[in-house]
This record gives sequence, C-alpha cells and structure tokens, in this order.
Amino acid sequence: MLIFISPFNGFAEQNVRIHGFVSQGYLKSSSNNFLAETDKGTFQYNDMGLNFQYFTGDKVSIGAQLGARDLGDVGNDKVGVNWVYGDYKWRDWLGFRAGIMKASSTLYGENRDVDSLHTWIIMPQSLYNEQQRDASQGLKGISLYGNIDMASMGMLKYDLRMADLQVGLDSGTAQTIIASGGVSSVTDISFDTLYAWSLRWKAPIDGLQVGADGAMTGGLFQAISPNPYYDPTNPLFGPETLNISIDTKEVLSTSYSLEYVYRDLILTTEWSISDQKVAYYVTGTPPGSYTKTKATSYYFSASYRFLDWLEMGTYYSKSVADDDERGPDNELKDICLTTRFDITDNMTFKLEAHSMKGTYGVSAGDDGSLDDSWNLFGAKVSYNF
Amino acid sequence: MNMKHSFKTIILSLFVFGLISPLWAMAEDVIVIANKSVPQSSLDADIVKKIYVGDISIWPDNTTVVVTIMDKSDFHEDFLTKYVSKSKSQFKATWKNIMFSGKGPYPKQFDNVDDLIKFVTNTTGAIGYVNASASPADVIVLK
Repeated sequence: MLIFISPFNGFAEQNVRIHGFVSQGYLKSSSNNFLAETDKGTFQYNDMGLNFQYFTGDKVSIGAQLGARDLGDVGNDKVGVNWVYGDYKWRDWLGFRAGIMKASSTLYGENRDVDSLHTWIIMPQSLYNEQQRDASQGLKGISLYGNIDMASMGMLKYDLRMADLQVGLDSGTAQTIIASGGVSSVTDISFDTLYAWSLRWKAPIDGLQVGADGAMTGGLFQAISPNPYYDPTNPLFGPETLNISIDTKEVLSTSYSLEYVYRDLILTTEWSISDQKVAYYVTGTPPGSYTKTKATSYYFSASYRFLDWLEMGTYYSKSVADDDERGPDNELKDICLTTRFDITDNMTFKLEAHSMKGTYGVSAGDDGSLDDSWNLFGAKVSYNF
Repeated sequence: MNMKHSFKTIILSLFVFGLISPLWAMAEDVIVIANKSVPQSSLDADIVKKIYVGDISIWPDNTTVVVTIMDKSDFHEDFLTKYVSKSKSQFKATWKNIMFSGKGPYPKQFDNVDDLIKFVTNTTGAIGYVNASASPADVIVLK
C-alpha cells in the first residue's frame, strides 16, 4: 500500500486522493456593518473543507467534500456536506454527474470557498454575493457536461443541470431575507426545481475565454413579520405577529463573462441580469399582485503576478438591487485593491482595501448610522493541500 | 602591457560567458513523451496543450490520460512556455480548480527524470515531459 504525500497530490493511495483547505480572515469597516460585525472588526470569517476523491480508472469517480464556514451569523462553523457525487465521463464531450454538486452560474463561483484559488479576499459582490453563496452550492440533482473540441474554432465547454437547491433556515439566503426588512425570522424555504446551464468558449486566440450562464427557478419563503397594526388593547387589529409568504416566481438569472489571460496578466469582466416576480402576502390569503424586478450588476477586474510570491489586483464592482430604483440604498459600488503573498506553494496571505459607495446589502454600524461612503479592510491567511 | 591585455581578455571572457550562460540554460530542449499505448498520431502539440490544461482527459482509443509533471525541474517553465502557454502560477491554479471541484486528480508529480520515464513507460495512457538529453527509450516522443 503506497501513500503519496506531496503538496498537491494531497494524501493519495493509488487512486484515492484527499485534499483540504482552511482560511481565516479579518474584516474591519470604517463604519456600517457588512457581511458580519465589521464595524468593530471581526474574525468571524473563515472557510474550511476536506475532500475525498476516488478514481476507479474506468472513467468513474466518486467524491465528497465536508466543509464549514463562518461569516457573521451565517454558517457558524457547522460542518456539512458541500458536495458528494458520482461522475461518469464516457467521452471528453459527454459526461454525467449525479448527487450533491457544486455548481455556479459565474466564471469563478465553483470554487469560491477555496480562498487560495482567488486573487481577492472578498470576490466582487456584484456577482459573488458572499451571504447568498449557499444558494449556488449543494445542488442536489444531475448534470450533463462535456468539452467539445472544435479544432480551429477552439473548445466549447458545457454543463446542463437540473437540481433542487439545498438552502437551510440558518443560511445566508435566509439572513438576507431578514436583513431586507419587514420580517423577523424565516420559518420555511422551498425552491422550485432549478434548471441551469453554463457555456464556456475557449477561443482560438490564446488566453481568451467567453462565457454565458443561466438559471431558472422560483422560491417560496415563509416568514414571521411584526403586525404593523397590532394593538394590545384591541384584538380586532389582529395578533402581534403575522405569518407571511414571499413568493418569487419566474426567477431568471443570466450572466456573461469575458476573461483574457496574457502571461501574468488576467483581465476579467462579468455581467449579471436577474429578473423575477415577487409577491408578499399574509399566508392563507391570495397572493395579490406580483411586482416585477430586474437587476443588472457587473464588475471589471485586473490582476498581475509580479513575482512567484507576489500578485496584485484591482476591481470595480457595482451591485444593484433594482434597475428601476436607483439611489445609494439600492446600490453598492466597490473599488478594491488587493495584494496577495504566496508564502509557500500551500500557504497564502492577502491584504485588501475597499472603497465603498452605497448601502445595498449593508447594515447600520454600531452607532445606528448607515453611511453612504465608507471603507473596508481585510486580511486573510489560507492553507491548502 | 601583456598583463593588462590578459586582464582585459579575462574580464571580457567572463562577461561574454555571463551573457551566454542563461542562454545556454534556456537552450536545453524539452520533449514530450507518452506510453506506447498512445498512438503516435494522437500526440501533437495541440493535444498536448489541451491535456495539460485539463480539457482532454481521454485518448481517442478511450483510455484515460494519466498526466505527469516535473514542476520542480529546471525545464518545467520551458515546457509550459513551449506547449501550454501558461505561467507556473496559472498552471497550478488551473489544476487546483479541477482538483477542488472533484473533476479530476492533480497531475502526478515527479522530482526525478528516471522515475518519470519509468512511470510513463509502464503506465497505459501516461504522458509526461523531460529534458531532451534524457533520451528515453520505450516511449513515444512528440515529433
């Protein structure tokens, strides 16, 4: 029995591979609270995972990853299954996966939990909403995928998925619903079947890749909301709290990406358009009218590796809640500057600064105020094997 | 006068040698080798590139590609420049992405040319790269 231990072979016995990662971050904002209690500074920002893969040698593989994360009130280091699936690759152009999968409708989302795979500490929130990361991972279903070699026209990669979203009541998605106002707690979350697709075209031009992704689903959230008409002296105005339903339907999210890599320079832009219809109503009553919303978000980024151990990058990101409702409380603009140090092949350290404008997805600071213009500082160390 | 001339000659020689030394080091060629189970016609530069960026993992005869690397060697960067068009860090990131998403194993790493040649010789579907001076036998070589 041979056990191979090397930086990236992890622990390997013949066709069994074990890999892992752990990252610990620190966030501090000049005002407001963002993602966690950043106003006073927080270490509640970490990720960890251990994955196991077995390759049978006849094009079948089985793998699983256990992981935990902490981001303020989200995760709290509770260990869970990130993904576990079987994979049969019949040909390079056709494979089949089934199980609980990581999936992403963005260029870099599939491994966003592995800090050492990114330049940034906080990925552009316009497309990589950190609080709602759980909605794009742990998809339970099936996937057809492949790489189609188009010879002089490059390579076309595709991934078609049909799955159920696994989003719990302690998830970031639930926290986002509460933070959006109007509800004090979420009591149930259910999603329609998700249909998603990813296309990546590696163009004949060296380093150029174009992508298009999409996802369709709907969701029904049950929540508790304070009754605005409640009067303890008059029962006619109803109980102190109400059971509320939030019904989102015809949710269609599309994103487009462009990446160009030239030696140690990486230039990327991604755009996301999200359409949905939403209705809020007291549970047990008819939904009433649905409000249609559309939100377009995007970012531009550039990174350059100066030395084997030094990489720097910058991005401009704009997150929008609703294209028809502009203003600082419905937007978040972010200019980021990052420096990444590769201490060893397996360890990285990053320092990052953000200049923010807007308060979309942002909570009031410890003094109760919500500032339109504020800054965020981050530091993170990560290890992987 | 002669000593002054000799001194200048020595300095000039050292300078010229210093210039050509890195060129000499860069001039060592890298060759791609594969197990004899791989048809010679399947081994071209385009396919090698696609294998080493993870886009191809099955040979035309439906056997699995077994990828090997010598990422600590002097010629690893030359190989990446010549065949893969990626920097060392980008190459590493590409395979770590594949590895951490469960879509494939990280290439098998070797520190010793002889060990790599032995592995490629004895493993169906294996592919690797070595310095040309290694002159491996019992493998097919990218022409």
